[in-house]
Amino acid sequence: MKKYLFSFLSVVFLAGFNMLDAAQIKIAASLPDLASIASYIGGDKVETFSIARGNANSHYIEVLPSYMIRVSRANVYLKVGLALDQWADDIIQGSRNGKLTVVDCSGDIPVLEKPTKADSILGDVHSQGNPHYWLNPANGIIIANNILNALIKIDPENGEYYRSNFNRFKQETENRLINWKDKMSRIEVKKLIGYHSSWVYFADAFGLTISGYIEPLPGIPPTGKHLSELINIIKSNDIKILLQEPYFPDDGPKFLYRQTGIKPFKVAPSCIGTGKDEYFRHFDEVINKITS
Amino acid sequence: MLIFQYHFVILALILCVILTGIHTYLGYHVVRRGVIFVDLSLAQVAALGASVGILLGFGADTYPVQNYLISLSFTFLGAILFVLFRKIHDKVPVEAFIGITYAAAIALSLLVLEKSATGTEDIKEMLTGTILTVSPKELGFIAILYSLIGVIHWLSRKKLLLVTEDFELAQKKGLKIWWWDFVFYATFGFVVTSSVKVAGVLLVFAFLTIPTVSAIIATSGTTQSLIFGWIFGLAGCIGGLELSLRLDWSAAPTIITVYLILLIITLAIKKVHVLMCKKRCGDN
Repeated sequence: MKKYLFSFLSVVFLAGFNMLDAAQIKIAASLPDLASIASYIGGDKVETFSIARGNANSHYIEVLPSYMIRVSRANVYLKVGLALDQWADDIIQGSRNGKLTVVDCSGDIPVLEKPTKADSILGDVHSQGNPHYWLNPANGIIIANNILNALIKIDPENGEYYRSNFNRFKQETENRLINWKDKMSRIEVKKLIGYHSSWVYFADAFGLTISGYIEPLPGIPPTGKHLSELINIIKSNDIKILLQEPYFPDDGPKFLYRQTGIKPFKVAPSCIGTGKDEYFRHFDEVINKITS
Repeated sequence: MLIFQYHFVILALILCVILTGIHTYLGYHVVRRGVIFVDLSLAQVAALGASVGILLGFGADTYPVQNYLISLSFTFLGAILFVLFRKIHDKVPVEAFIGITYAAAIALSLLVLEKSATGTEDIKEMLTGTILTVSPKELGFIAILYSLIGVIHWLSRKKLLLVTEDFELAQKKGLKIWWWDFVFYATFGFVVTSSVKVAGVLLVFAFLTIPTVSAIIATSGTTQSLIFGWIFGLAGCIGGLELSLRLDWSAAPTIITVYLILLIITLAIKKVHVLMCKKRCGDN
């Protein structure tokens, strides 16, 4: 009797889980930041995952078949857009998922560094403007709104739930932004050096300027002249902070440190996890690091 | 000269001098043995070792010693392999196996690096190196290591040169070929592992082949070749660095380009010299 009771309960238990699982909307995202925001807006009605890892170079992702399989079982795909994640198109196509709702999260984002005709010589890594827009918390709200609209469309029944999550997200973001701005205002020299131009929106959000980049062109190591110019810029502006994405080699930052004393900070341009607080936690981490 | 104006380039220049010194000499053995692919192959094996180190959690920046040792052990395994290649098959030239090793090492490196977040950047770095940003510490380490290796090679120079230049005579004289092969490939492996780390695979390959080939074209005899190679190598480095500063080009590719130009000039001068000699002497 006990044996059967146990089996019966197990089946009910598992079936219950299965039902929960079946009811959850599966959201795939190119980056953990988008997934994190989606987790907040969708709450317990969604399950999110990210294709790219937070500490990887999201411009270049090797598209593995397993990604296509995962996306084939998803309901929504959140793209960064602005030509950052063109590899996502390969995954989406390969997934052959006719029921996939693709959301370009760059909708309504005020784009910085839009290329003029003269810039096309510089290569086409950022051919539609700088795509690292999630690094301005204010843009996080716009991303959340894009996700909200998509969720309401495919699951109108829970529209109120999603909308109330969105309103909480908006409020929380605005509150935290005040806090972050206060912390960042304590930085004396408002100029930074970057490795790649990931931090333009971050700088914009907190009143900073990025005065130079180690990487003159993606994939090309800096020339002697460029290094010399960077040294001059750093010294003449007394720049103290260098933001280095963790996937770049250390030799350039260490060299600049030896020559000028500028401090390299290894900070990933994306959060690592996909939970609802990860987007915020990432800002906390970065800001605490560079204001300490 | 701009080299002395951009004062940090002096470190890169000293590094080039050291690298030219050892690689021209090792390149002489490599070209004479006819195993050109060895250095590309071993360099890639070294890079594979570094990638495996990264995958195991010992990134080159955070755990430089561990990563270097892992890289080195891979290189030594490669060296042992190359020693054994002589014995595998008479009909297949050793070069073929070395080429296969090169392809295998690249393929495995790619597979390994795909699992790590930093993958693509590491692959790029393996190719172009970082001579402009070399640190005094790295430079010092290389200077000491290569001096030691230089001493080893100086002490065993007669035996090593004999195995390279006249294999059959070496056998007749009863030299333990496998041992001197191993000494060569193992020290070579040490050098390649360290050089690839700072100068990248391409520049190391250029250092190893172009000065020596020019020397063999232009001169005869071991000592003459080595001296010519060293002067050639040094001139190429200085010219390459200076040009890269004036034209705002990447350092490593510019040095290689200058080497190529000097090689073509050497070939041309030799051809002209031979032609003139024929004219003078050929009618007698």
